Amino acid sequence: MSKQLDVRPTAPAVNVLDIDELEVSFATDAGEVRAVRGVSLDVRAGEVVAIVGESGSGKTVTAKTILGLLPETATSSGAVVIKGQNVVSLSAARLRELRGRDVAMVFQEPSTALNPVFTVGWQIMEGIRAHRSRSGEGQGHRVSRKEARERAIEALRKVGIPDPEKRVDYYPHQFSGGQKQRVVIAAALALDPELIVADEPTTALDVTVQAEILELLRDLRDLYGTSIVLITHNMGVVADLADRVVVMYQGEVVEEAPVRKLFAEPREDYTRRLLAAVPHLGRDSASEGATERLHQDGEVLVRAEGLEIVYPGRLGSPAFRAVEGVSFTVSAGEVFGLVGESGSGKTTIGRTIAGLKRATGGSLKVLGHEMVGFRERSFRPLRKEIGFVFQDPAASFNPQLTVGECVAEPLVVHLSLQPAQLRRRVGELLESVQLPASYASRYPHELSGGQRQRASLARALALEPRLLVADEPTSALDVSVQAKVLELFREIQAELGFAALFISHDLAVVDQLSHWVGVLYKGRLVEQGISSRVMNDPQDAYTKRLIASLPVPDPVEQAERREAHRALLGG
Amino acid sequence: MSTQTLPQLERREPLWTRLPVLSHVRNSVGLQRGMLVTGLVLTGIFLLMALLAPLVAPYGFSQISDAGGNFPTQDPPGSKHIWGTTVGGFDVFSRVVWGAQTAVLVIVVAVALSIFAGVALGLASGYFGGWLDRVLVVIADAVYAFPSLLVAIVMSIVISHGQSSLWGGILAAAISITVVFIPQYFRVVRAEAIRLKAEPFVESAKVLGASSWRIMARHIFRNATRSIPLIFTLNASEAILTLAGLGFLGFGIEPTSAAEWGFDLNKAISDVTAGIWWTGVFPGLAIVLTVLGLTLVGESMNDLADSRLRTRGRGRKQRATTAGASRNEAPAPAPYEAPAQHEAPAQHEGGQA
Repeated sequence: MSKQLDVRPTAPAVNVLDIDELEVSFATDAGEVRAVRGVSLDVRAGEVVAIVGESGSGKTVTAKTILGLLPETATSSGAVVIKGQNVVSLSAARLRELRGRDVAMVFQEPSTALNPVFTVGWQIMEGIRAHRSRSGEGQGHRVSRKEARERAIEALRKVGIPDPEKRVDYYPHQFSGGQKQRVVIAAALALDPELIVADEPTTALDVTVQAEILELLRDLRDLYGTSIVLITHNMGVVADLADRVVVMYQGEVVEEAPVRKLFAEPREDYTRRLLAAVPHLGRDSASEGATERLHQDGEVLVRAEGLEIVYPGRLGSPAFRAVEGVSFTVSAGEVFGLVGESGSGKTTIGRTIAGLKRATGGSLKVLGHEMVGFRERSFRPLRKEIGFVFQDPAASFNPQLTVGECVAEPLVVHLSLQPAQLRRRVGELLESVQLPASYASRYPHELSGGQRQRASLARALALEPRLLVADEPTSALDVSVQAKVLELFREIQAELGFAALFISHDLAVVDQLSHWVGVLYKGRLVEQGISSRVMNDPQDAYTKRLIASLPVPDPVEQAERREAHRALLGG
Repeated sequence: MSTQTLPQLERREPLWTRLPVLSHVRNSVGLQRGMLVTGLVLTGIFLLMALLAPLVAPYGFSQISDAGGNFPTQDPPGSKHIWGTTVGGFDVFSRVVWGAQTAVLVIVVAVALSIFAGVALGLASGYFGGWLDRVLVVIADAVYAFPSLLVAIVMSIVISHGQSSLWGGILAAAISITVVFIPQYFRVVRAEAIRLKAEPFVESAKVLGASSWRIMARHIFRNATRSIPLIFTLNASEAILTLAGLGFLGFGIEPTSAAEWGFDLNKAISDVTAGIWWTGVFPGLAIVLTVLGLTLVGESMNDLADSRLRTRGRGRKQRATTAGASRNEAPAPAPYEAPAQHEAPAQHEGGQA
């Protein structure tokens, strides 16, 4: 597996997939939208080709076309040739034959890709039995139930599910998220297709699980010679897995190059900007060179001691402890980064500080107010001192109100201003987050994701709060947009000097912004310290694993990190 | 088109194209548009008939004589009475036209009563939850458990004690329908309120310290009532059926107070065996066509509101070429945030992701 990535064995020049001048357009209410415009690419045997691009670049549509999975509203032209057959013009019956046998798909969200009422074995066998046997004595006949089951077990073994003979009869909910994705991959592998299309196969997974799935995909290529079309927006994943990269932008191929070449010397301007926007762990740290905690002399705004947050269980089931025994402080002017994987309790802590969730034990003082057993009435006056930025900018605005009305909301609730004053203040606020004041009369859906998140920041800052809670504020955004929003956040924080609790699963982003970082794992704070130190020299075993699992957007560096990661897991 | 995003987003659509029904007509194609337009035409005729009843109907609804003496009874359709007359000597055509007016009044009163109570209770129940919610849901379920016509009969006896003036009859019918309909609005609005309660924009308002009253009125109400026009059309047709049912069973409005289709149908039963078809067919047709019209409007609005059920016009050639041309002119040095911009409208329409 320590093969040189760039020097692939020169297989016979047969392409597994040829896409030629593919055009796809959708009929929408706003007229025809051309999602893919003249895309040509090819995939050779045993090669991983990554298609990268931001949302709306047409990468997913291209992937779906490969399997003929476009919705009815789509019209496509051009050629997608798999084994001499053009998928675009194939009949439904022939297409069904092709799917699974010659090309298979791995979806983004493993928990919705599996049917919860059937065992995983049944779901894998369904694919096997849908096709006629290709070889052996039963050629041309349907696969027997017994043989299909054996093949399903074999496929599960291939993807590293322990004890496959037993677990083939398990239901999807009995597997963890990463194992579910393994099962999905097993289903894709069951008929030994030469090509797998993986649409954001690791986006819904945690970093540590992502590393395992990437490892598995790499093994498929190296051991079985499966070709993979990898659709992703994560440049770290690309650097880790891909042999060749196709960059798409607005439905067109911008650049195509071997992975090392692309990262080392991107040819196109767009690619260069895209790569520059990707946050890179260890670069551009906010706590660069700090030897002791910054702002530690400031007034303590949030103090948690042995904080415990319990979700009451349903009848008969025990209560769930989301957070237990967590202690930390946030001082005035400090950016406290809270990192952790899904289910670690980071969002719960943020929501408790904002009074959206109740603390059940220990002590949590927010601006001097005890949050354990708090009453909304006594806490309400303090609310104007706390701003909150939500994860999804699309959902955090009332779709029926204009952006101006939304941003004015805190002012209306807490101050009594004249309409003219209000309008002026909203204009100022929007300009402070680099949006034109005229955007006040627009509706949220008329703004882009990044613009909405800026407006959200403007709303959170309207009353000049002393504390800002930002819950994954950039994880719904494209990288280039994320870079701009982070930059803005950094500037405004430096200018206004509010304290911030910055919650994110993305270590590189947290490192860019925060002075002090806390790492949560299963409701416990396993490590805290100066961000740059924690990132470079983690002490806790979990933090070590977390940081080692994060793929960095640089193929050369990532290859070294991978070795180190493997050593860490092995030892 | 929407790939060149910003200019298109800046343009506001004129107000009239954003009105509920008109925007639906504009967005529809093919069979869906045919259904919607048919429904609208039928409903339009029904409303016009109700509005212009005094002009359209040649005689009053309870008129049995004119200057030329008493009307003949059970007279077949002819030049003087184009749809004939009934056993009581009423002009069938006039009765049918006036009946539309009664139906509209009942719909308006019934829906007005139930919509306010249903929406208010639904909002409070969904947003606050707890014991209030449980009690209201149990009551709503209990009302559901009764056959609606039975409830309506009981209500009409309670309200009007069997006698019926025009407004007494209309109110009896309307209130009995109201009782049945409140749970429907209640449920829809409650479900929406529960969903919206967890939306980040409502939480964001909570974090700001907005009061519950303000959150309900400003954030939840305006988002929860989007499906109301739809239930309104469907309920309107049900209201007509209930009214006709009451009349048919003899709990309706006396012929001297107002014209009512169900009552006329009831009186036509004995005519059928005597081969007198006109007294039954015309009021019956009026009921069928009105209900059909309202249902078609409601169902097509339902389908059009759901982007998965909505059919769209396919690949219009000219548009495609203009898009190609504009692309060549502007070789896409688009603003850097551009990719996310077409994601916005696409999400909104639930189109391709």
